[in-house]
Order: sequence, then structure tokens, then C-alpha cells
Amino acid sequence: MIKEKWQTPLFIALFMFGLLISTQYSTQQALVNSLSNQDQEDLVTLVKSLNEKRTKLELEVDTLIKNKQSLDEKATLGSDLVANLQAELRQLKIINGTVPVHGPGVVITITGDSNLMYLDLIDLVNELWVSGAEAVAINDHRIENNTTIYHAEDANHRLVITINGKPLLSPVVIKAIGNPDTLEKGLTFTGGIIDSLNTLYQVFPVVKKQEDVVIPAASSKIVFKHIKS
Amino acid sequence: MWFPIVGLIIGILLGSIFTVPVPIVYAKYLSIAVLAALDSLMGGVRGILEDSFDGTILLSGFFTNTLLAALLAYLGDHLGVDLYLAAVLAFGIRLFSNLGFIRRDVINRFRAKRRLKKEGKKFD
Repeated sequence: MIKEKWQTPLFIALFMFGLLISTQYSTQQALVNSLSNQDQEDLVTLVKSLNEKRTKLELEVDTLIKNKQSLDEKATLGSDLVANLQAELRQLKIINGTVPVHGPGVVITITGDSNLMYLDLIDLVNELWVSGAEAVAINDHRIENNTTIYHAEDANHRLVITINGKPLLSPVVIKAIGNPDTLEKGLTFTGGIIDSLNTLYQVFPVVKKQEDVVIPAASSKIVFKHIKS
Repeated sequence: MWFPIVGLIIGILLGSIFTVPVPIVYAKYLSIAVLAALDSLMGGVRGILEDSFDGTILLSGFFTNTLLAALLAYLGDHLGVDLYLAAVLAFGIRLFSNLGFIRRDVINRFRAKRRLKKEGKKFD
């Protein structure tokens, strides 16, 4: 039959033709999509839009860089804040007497045989504060905002000076940190506290400047219950 | 009857699955090859309809026309002669004349069938 004769060659030819046209189709698509085949006007608009896009992206890069810079600044600001807070904490610790401190200052020694009263001690401490002392201790009792200086009778019915309720033993050694010269001047000027102690009460404190005075931490911690800020 | 068309579909599918990247420079020659192949196919279909079909002639014509068309277009480009246009013209004219013959043959066959049917009815 004729049918049998023509089918195989036609099959081969059509098969090859199919391959050819699909290849040609994809090639043609690539050709149409290639830049060299575009209209000049299209290309111009393409370049324009790409340029616009690029400037937009450049702006975006700029803003992002600025953002990064501001964030970096904020970060460094944050670390500065932490450093500031730590410094403040250290200062507060020093003020509250929770840490031992040392520095230049004066040491006042009062021997045991003098008739020292607690009021004289208070005056001395006050005078030290006024003269610019930054930390004061009496016989290693750190003077804080709640330190009491008073007197009490001991077992032998003798008056003893107490600090925070504890009897003060002789000799009394007052340590103060501050400018040694200023502190000494503040105590020893004519008509000053030491002068009056000498002349009125026959108490003879010995003031000595020192390069390094060590003042211990306060023995008790202050616990605030009612105070608010 | 459908067997060759299945071949065409398989060919298209295979060609689109295994896409061979042809350099854009050769797209022109490939297009003229497609035109030559189409011309050969139309010649083959016309041969079937006119009962003068020869498979060897079809296949040899198919491959040689395709290759030669592409080669001639390529050569023309390199010699500065637009043989490409000549091939498009020649194959295009032959393609359309073949199409015209195919149309005529199909109509004739259809008419002949109808006449045979009518005569058959009359003889019944």
C-alpha cells in the first residue's frame, strides 16, 4: 500500500523539521531579546531607566551608610554611658564608704592622756570636712553620713567616747584624705580648732602630712528602707 | 496517517527539551534552513497527494536543500552577495506554489470521493 511507503520517510523528515523549528524558535527568541536587536528609542529609555535606578540605588546606599554611622555613634554613646555609669558607681561607692580608699592626706594623733571629749572630735571632723577632706576615719572607723560620735559610761563608770556605739580606744588617730597642705592649714591656723583645743582644753593633737593615707571601708552597709528619690 | 505528525511533535518536544544554544550570528542561516525544510516537506505532501511520492527523493531533498540553503546564505554573506534573499525568494515561491497544488489536489480528491459516493448510491 502507498500508506506504508510514504509514512517512514515523512516521519523522519517531520521529526528533523520539528527539531529544526524548535531550535530556530529558541534562537529567534534570543535574537529578539538581545540588546542589539532593540529599537534605538527603547534602548535609550532602557538606559535612562537603568540610570535612574542606579542613582536611586546610590541614594539608598548613601542613606544606609548614614544609618550605619548613626547607629555606630549610638553604640559608642551607649558604651560611653556605661563607662559614665561605672565611674559614677565608683564615686558613689567611695562616698558611701563601701570600698577602701587611699590617697594623700593628714594623720592627726591624739595621745590617750588628754581630756578629749566627743564634741572635740566632732569639731575636728567637721573642720576636716570644711577643709576639703574627701574621706575621714577615726581609728579605722570610716566616718559616713550616719556615723554617730558620742560618749557613754563604761563598766567602771568612766566616760568614754563612742563611735557607732563602740568605745574609742586611745590613742585616737584621725585619718583624712584630701590636699595635705589645705587640711593642715585648716586645722592649725591661729585661732583655729587645734589652737583652741591647745589653749582651752589642753588637748594637743599632732598633725602630720602623709603621701598615702589608707582609709578602710565602712564596717556596716547602709540599707535604705524609706528613702525615695 | 497520524504517524508522521507524531514524529513532528516528538521532534518539537525533543528540540525544546534539549535546547541547543545557537549563536545569534547563525540565526539567519538556521531560518533559511527551516524555510528549505518546509519547502521539501510541502513537496513531499504534494507527492503523496499526486501519487508520485518517493521517500528517497524526499529525504535527500530535505537534507541537501536544508544544508545547501544555509551554506549558500553563509557563503553569500561572506562574498557580499545577498544569496540569503535569493534563497528566501526561491524557496518561498516554491513553497507557495506547492501549497497551491496541495490545495487543488485536496479539493480534487474530496470532489472525486463525493462523486464516487453519489454514483455508488445511484447504482444501488
